Amino acid sequence: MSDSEKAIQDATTGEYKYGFVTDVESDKAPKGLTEDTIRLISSKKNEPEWLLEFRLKAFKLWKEMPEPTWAHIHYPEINFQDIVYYSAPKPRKVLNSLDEVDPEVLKTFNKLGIPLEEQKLLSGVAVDVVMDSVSVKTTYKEKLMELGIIFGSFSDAVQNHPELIKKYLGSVVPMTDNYYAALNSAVFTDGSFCYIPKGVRCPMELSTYFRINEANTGQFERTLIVAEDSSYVSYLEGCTAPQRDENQLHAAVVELVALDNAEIKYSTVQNWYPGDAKGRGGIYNFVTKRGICAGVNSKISWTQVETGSAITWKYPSCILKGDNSVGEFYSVAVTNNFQQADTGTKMIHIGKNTKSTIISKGISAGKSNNSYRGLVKINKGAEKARNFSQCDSLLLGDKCGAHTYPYIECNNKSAKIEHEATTSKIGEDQLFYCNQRGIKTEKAISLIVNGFCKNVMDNLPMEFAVEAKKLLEISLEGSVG
Amino acid sequence: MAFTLTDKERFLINFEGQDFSKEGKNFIKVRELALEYLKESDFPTTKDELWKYTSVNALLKEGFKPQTSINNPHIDAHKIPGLDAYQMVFINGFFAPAFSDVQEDELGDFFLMNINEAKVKRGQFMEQYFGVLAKAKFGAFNALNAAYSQDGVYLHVQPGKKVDKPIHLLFLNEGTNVAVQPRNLIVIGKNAQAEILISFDTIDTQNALTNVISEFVVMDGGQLTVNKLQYENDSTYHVSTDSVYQHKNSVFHINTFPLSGKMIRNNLHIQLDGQNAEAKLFGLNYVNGKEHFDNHTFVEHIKPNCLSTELYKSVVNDNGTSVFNGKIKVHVDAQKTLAYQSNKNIICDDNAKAYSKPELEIYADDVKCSHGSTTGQFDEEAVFYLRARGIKESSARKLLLNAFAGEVLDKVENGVVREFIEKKIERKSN
Repeated sequence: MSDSEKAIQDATTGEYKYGFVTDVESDKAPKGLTEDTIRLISSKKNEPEWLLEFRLKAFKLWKEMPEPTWAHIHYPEINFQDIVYYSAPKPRKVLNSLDEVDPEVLKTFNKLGIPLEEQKLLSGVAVDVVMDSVSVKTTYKEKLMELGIIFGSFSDAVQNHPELIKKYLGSVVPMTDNYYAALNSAVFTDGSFCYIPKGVRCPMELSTYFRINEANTGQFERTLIVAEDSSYVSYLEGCTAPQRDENQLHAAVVELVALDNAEIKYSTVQNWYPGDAKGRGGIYNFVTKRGICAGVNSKISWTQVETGSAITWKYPSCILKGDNSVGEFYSVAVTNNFQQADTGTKMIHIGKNTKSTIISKGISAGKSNNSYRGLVKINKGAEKARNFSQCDSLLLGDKCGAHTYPYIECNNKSAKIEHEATTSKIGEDQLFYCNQRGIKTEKAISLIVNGFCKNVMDNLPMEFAVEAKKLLEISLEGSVG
Repeated sequence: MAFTLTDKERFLINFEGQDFSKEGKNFIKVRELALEYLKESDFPTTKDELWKYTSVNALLKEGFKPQTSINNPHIDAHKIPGLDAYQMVFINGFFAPAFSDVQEDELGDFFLMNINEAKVKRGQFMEQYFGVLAKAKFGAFNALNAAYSQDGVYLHVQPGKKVDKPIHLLFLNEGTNVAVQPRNLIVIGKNAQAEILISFDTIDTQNALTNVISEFVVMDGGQLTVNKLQYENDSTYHVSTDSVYQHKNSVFHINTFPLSGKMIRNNLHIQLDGQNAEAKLFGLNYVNGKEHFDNHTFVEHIKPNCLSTELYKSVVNDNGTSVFNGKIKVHVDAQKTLAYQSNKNIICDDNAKAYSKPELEIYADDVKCSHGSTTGQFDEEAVFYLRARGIKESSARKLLLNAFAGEVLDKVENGVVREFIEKKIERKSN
């Protein structure tokens, strides 16, 4: 019996062993990561052979990679064998009314101004009371299908559009890219896939929130967005509502492909559980996000508001390959208590007349550390490339840290690059000015912080921006005075 | 062959067999510790964050060897014309007393002598400072110097005194595959003042390595100005470490001019460990041909109320490479820190490269820190403006270059030195 035959047999017996039945409790892989786990994931999802091979190859690479240690963050070693890599989507515990929801969570909802119906949906109250919302979703879905837009879960896309997945999966973030990208490539369970055909302008903001079958995409999420020639899409990820999650490690991969004249706008609001005020618990968010402006005149724009997670480690990047392509990065990262954030972007200029803009605002409070780390690289052929970067940090409290690590590499004489960064605290006189006009210190600070972040917030879709502003206030609550 | 030597081992063999046994016990100990460290540690590679853009592979493959110089060097051509200064000359790292103005009078304003002499005469005073700032464990080049440095300058300005003339430290290289490792210690006493010019020049070499360390201590209220000029020939590798420790109310001002050489790497580390201390760091890279100039600066604000101002500029021509990595670290409790850093690069040719990495690491909240970095080219509109007024294109560009470089050159207060640098740059830009 050849090795591969044996492996297949092992895998099949494996399935028997853990019982491939609909029983909820047993539909779960055992802890730990081996080739069998990957075969199990792949067979459960009924994946084609090439995808299994993709996963196994990634796993082989991952085993040989060292865990990265260069970021300015500290955390205890992660035991990768102590993680459950596959558990089938479980139905959420259905609650009968909002009264059963954690009052803390409700309080936050109210502060965010989330409509009651949405609150119910978010906290998993029985869905029948929010039928409206469901029907809204269905109408959206029909409308999208009319335009030829494919938007759904990654697993569905693997079944229904394997040729697209095969073409673009790993084309922007190859499995060799980094430790966590390799891990994700091996064990990703689900995610979103979005395909905008030629010349189509997506009429609405696409959001994971509206996606049917949204339940529990798991900790290793994979997102792929392809925008064909002259198309446009705005995509929202995450949610302003606090998200509690049992999984400690999140290692997602997001790939964006923009072809000729296409534009992708990707907005994130991340509010994972940051751990308690003493720094216990909380989520590690190690994400690889990258987009490629493959065609001429294409544009990719990242906007992110990061307020959650114990550790945020992500660098949404743009590869500006097509001539005249544009990359943008707008970020607000807020850290409080013991949170750590090491975030930033990479702009790789390859094509001629490529432009990039980086606006990063870091706010640190409590005992947190907030770092900006970015790369602007102008390749030799990137004639007349242009970059502007601005990284400002605001410090609230004398025990926190704010750091800036920009890398600027220029290999072309016609390129123009500008970078500036400042670090300061809120001016005493600014506060005094507000106090004098009857604004309480806490309100004044949130006013100033919002002003500080304004040119990033302006890039968020409108309703999102309103919620994000309130979220900032909540995140910084109690950090002053 | 049963075994082969690694590049590092082959590189180090040439340094063995030097006799330092006449030195004091404690100084021998420093060398021994450094040697131990050198055995354990590797030379940096481009995988090391601090050496990401500068490779020393080629350097390690050369067989550099410490060598004494020929008997009658002519150094007149290497003096700076018109400069009235106390002069200390070193050839291949060895002291040349015939050309030097030693000051060792106990009653004088300052001590100026070669460090080997000082180890005997001023040993006790020196021990508290020697090797404390630029520790061997900071890296293989530091350790190499600590283990095998031949000689260097010792300067101690007595409290409250001012050195009446600039002090010129002139390091000359001569010979083939020569390894030169000077080590300097400079202590500026309380409220004392001095101006130092350090210059590195070549008499005639084929392949040379200069690996120099200078330690500077500026006591309360002391003021020290350093102009550092590097213009060795194009077969010389130059690695340089300057470590500065500032007490309260002190002012340290350094202007660095890497002017020529095959590869130049400058490490400048300043610790502001006293309130109201001020550091000023300025630099100008002018890169031609295949030259590779790398400036690393690290400013640490340890105590509150300190100020640091930093400006590094570079002009990169031909196939040259310019690297700037500046880091400002504000320690916890170093409140009311003001730290400003700026890096500006002009790229003039298709194959020229500029890498810039300005970093801020801040752990105190009541601070004002900023950094800026720009990379670009001469403003074509400005060139057009000048040409429209009948100025040749080449002259117009030279004019703009002078204006660009002027901002750093203006920081050189000594007119003679400034003129000397301007001439060097002018010769290079033709």
